[in-house]
Amino acid sequence: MTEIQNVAYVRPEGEYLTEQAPPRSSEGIIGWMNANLFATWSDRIVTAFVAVSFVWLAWSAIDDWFISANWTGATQAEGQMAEIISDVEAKLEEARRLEQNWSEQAERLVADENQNLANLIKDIEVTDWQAQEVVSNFRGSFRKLPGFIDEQITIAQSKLPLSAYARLETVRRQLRDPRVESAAQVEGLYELNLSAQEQATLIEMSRPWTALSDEDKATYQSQAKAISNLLSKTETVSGEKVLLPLNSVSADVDALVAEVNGEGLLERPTRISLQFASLVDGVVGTPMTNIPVSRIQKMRKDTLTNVEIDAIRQALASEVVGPAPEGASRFQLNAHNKKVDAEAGNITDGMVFLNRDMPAGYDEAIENQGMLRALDAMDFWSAARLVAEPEGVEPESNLPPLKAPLVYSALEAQFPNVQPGPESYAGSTHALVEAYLENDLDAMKAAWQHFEPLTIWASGNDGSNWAVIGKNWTKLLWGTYPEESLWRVGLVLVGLILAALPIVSPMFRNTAFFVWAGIYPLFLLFMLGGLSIRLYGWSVPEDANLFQTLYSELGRVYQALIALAVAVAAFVLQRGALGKTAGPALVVAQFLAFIYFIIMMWGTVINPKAAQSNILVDNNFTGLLTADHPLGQQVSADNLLAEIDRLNNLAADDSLSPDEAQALRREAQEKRTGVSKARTAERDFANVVKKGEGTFVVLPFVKSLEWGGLLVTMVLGVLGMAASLPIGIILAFGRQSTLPIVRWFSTGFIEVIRGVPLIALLLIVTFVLPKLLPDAEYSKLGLVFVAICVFGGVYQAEVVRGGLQSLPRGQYEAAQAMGLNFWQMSRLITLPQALKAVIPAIVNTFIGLFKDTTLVIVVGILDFLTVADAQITAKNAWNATKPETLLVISLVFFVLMFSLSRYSMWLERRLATDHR
Amino acid sequence: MSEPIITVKNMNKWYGQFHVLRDINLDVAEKERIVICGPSGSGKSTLIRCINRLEEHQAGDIVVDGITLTSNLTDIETIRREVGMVFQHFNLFPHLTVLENCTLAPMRVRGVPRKEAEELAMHYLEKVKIPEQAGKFPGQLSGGQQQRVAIARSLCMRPKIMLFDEPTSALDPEMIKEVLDTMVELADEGMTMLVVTHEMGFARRVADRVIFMADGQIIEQNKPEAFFDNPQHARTQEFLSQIL
Repeated sequence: MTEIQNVAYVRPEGEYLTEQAPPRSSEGIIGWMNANLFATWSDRIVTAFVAVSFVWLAWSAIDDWFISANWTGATQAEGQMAEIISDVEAKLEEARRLEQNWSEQAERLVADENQNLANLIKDIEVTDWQAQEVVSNFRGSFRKLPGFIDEQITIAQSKLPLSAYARLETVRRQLRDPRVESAAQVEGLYELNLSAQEQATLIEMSRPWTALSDEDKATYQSQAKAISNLLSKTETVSGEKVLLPLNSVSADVDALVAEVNGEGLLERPTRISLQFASLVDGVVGTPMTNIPVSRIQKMRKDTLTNVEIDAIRQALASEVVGPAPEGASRFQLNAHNKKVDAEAGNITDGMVFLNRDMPAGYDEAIENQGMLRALDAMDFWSAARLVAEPEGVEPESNLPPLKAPLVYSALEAQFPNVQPGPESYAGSTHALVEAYLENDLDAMKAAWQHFEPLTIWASGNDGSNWAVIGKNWTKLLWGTYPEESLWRVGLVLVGLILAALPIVSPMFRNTAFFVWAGIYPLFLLFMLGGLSIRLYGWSVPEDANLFQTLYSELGRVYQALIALAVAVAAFVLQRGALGKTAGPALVVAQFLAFIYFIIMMWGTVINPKAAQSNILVDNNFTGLLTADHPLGQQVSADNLLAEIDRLNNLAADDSLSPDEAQALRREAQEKRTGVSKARTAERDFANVVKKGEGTFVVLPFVKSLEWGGLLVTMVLGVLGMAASLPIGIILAFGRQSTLPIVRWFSTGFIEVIRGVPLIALLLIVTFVLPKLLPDAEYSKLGLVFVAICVFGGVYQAEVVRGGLQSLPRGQYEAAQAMGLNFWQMSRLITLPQALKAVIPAIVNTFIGLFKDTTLVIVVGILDFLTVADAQITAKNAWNATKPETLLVISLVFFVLMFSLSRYSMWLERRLATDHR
Repeated sequence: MSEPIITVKNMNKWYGQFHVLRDINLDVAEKERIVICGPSGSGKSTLIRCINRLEEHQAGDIVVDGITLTSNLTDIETIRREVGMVFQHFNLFPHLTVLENCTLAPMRVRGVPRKEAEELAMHYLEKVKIPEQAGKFPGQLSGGQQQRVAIARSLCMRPKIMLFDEPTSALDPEMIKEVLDTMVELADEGMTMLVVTHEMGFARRVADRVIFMADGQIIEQNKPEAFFDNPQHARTQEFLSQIL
């Protein structure tokens, strides 16, 4: 056994143990990670590598799987896209080449065509009048011809592409129409065009009339009038005036017609219409009622007159209904006529267009199936993106390019009410075709721009399409805030950082920063909204009563000055002897006086709307509406009155026919309604100009409706948070007050506001509150801001009250026993402790409030979320990129809110005083 | 004997229906040290809390330093400035350092400049023998230290009267001594003191007068020797027999 050594020990001098950091925790997950993942540098590198790989994989999964889930169709179409792009690019090239040929060809064709049309119009002008007389009489009513001649001239001027386009459009529609089964039928549609011979016949049939001498024409007109009179004869049946049945007058008509030189003219409309009808029946073999009316309307514009269409309708209807029974009574005949009319109404849908001519150059374009296929495929592609997989309509990549009924039906099901417009793919293809056919390269390129998202997406990405962010980030950040004023947004951001520094570090907790934080809201308001200062020119309305005098501009300026004097006096007194005894009351007085000062300055000295009038004044527009100015000559009330007088004088001329005089008087009457409008405009204009008097624009006015995106969200959210806490503190004290009125008011206010949904509150302040306030223009954003502050405030009030109640009674007693008054006790003792205790709840309310600002969507303010939803992804071009957009927006919100949450945790740690 | 600094006359107080103080009459001379004892619930704490109006009395008069206590806030604040109070649970402000606890009231209530207030605070912290703790927060101190800070905090207002509401009841035995030592020192300097306590040793050594309360009434008062050695009232005898 060894001898036990002496246990006495003295640590040698100079060998004192130094302080050491505690060992790393070895417990729990953190301990395990410390031991296994972060122990050595090699461990850390491997860990970092694995973590990065994991994030990468996760992201790829999201990118490929999560977002692509809606993109299956798009992915399938990706191959087609490249083809389409090169195809269309080739078409552009080809169009450039064709442009040369076509322009020559077109010039020649237009020259010929103009001649033809001129003749035709001349003829039709006559036959039309004639036909109108007859048909309108037959129908017992008088129909107007809506500018038919103008239309014809327009067509002649706008040349041929319209008809070419019309044909193309029909073919395209037919191709999509599942009822069209054979190519022969499609081809047959072309045959509906009148052949040259038919055209000639038409013209020839009109010749007799054009050949008539003026004298004969007059005779014919009187005869036609006689016929029409005959046809409009009425008789009284059971006390009611009815037209004589046709068969009872037809003998007379025939007799009359026989006397007329222009034999056969009266039959013409019916003959032509029957000819058309047989053509239609022969070619289409489809019940005409099934053909969409929109197509007819589009087509008939170029071809048939309304009169002709009516005639065709009547003729077809008569055939369908059959002849009237022999020896029918008048009533039966009337009933029969009604039946024919009703049937004619149906047949409107069955009209088929008649395309007069088609120059050879354009056939080329129609025949070009490649173009059509490209466009079809494009539609297919966009449709495929829109068709959600679980709906059971899975687009197939091998659908025939010309017929994709499945996709189209899905598209229609998805957007039953969407009409092709310039913003949609359908509208864009439409515009592209038109531009292509018109040889308008610029228009073609412009139309192509609408496919930008597709091209960006197709240039190498798979899955998600982040171009939506890259192309729209300015809109997301500041909406439509004018670009030349963006420096103001920048300054506001810098100002925000300066104002927030005191809450980050005590280093910045000095008077300068506090003053800055105090005036920052005003700085923001003027910086973003603009500032115009008015130094003179205020007025009091004449014969104003006392209230009106007080409320007038000048009255409010005086009130502002008095309020300022009160504020300054209160400040001086507070600094002086009175501050000891009446300090809090003086502070409140300062605050209220200052608020009153601002309110009174608003609209008088601070003149946000002055910008408009300044523009008018600066540009010498003040005389805009006076009679000397060209614009004023047209719209000034005095000039209108003079014009009315002139027209009335003209109408008084005896040499005019009653109709002409009537027309002049009607015109005068129409102008009279403009006079009061002009007077109002002149008064408003004068007011605007007057308001600009004495105004100096420091910063140009920017309407709050132009603020948008993250800017609005930050303004509402950050300022709302900043304002809600003081409101909450005041209400919390109010609710605990020993004064019953203050307590009841605070409690009632909290309970009422808290009991109303924020959406309802937003709607109320936007639509109801302005009606209760003095009549003025209120900024929607301002009203909404107030609602958000108040809403946040009442929630904070309850949070703060909870904090105050959680304090031990002894804290109040100790503070009281030391002689602190209520305000000192609250400010120095209870409030700091109460707020510290409820930091998590306060931040919770902050986060809730910040996110709730997105509800401003209900009143149409374009905040961060709304701008994306309403202005970016609502457009068809970016419609399919909703997932990406929403993901980015959520990410931004998350980063902001997570930072806030971390800040609050840091704050809690910093303020913890028990284990330092 | 000069004019009493505290006069309580026919004072009554109720908590709702409960008659907690019954017809209290008490005169306290300047520099007098009074110990109030009695069973719990007898109204000792309520009595001294009435003196600086932490509690309101419903009948009778209380005159402190020539001012009659009413609900006039200015009077109340004036009296509180002159009357320091030490609580059973110290009631230090946990979010302020020891030094800030001590300088707060002189600066805010008396308008003493910061520098002077800090010198004053350090003076009293030295007096209660914890100047080295000035920068710490109350949560980092022991109970005895906290109570001594509370005493120093009250003294910083240079009060004419000090009220102690069971200052040692919440302390561990070994900390009681350091607090009592401080109080003895204070008493030796001639501070007017009203002390609610069960520390009979302290009472015997320091008090000019001992008051025994039961059921909201003053049952007996006397000089400490007479009070402890020759209690008159049966209720007093019973009480003393239980605690001694």
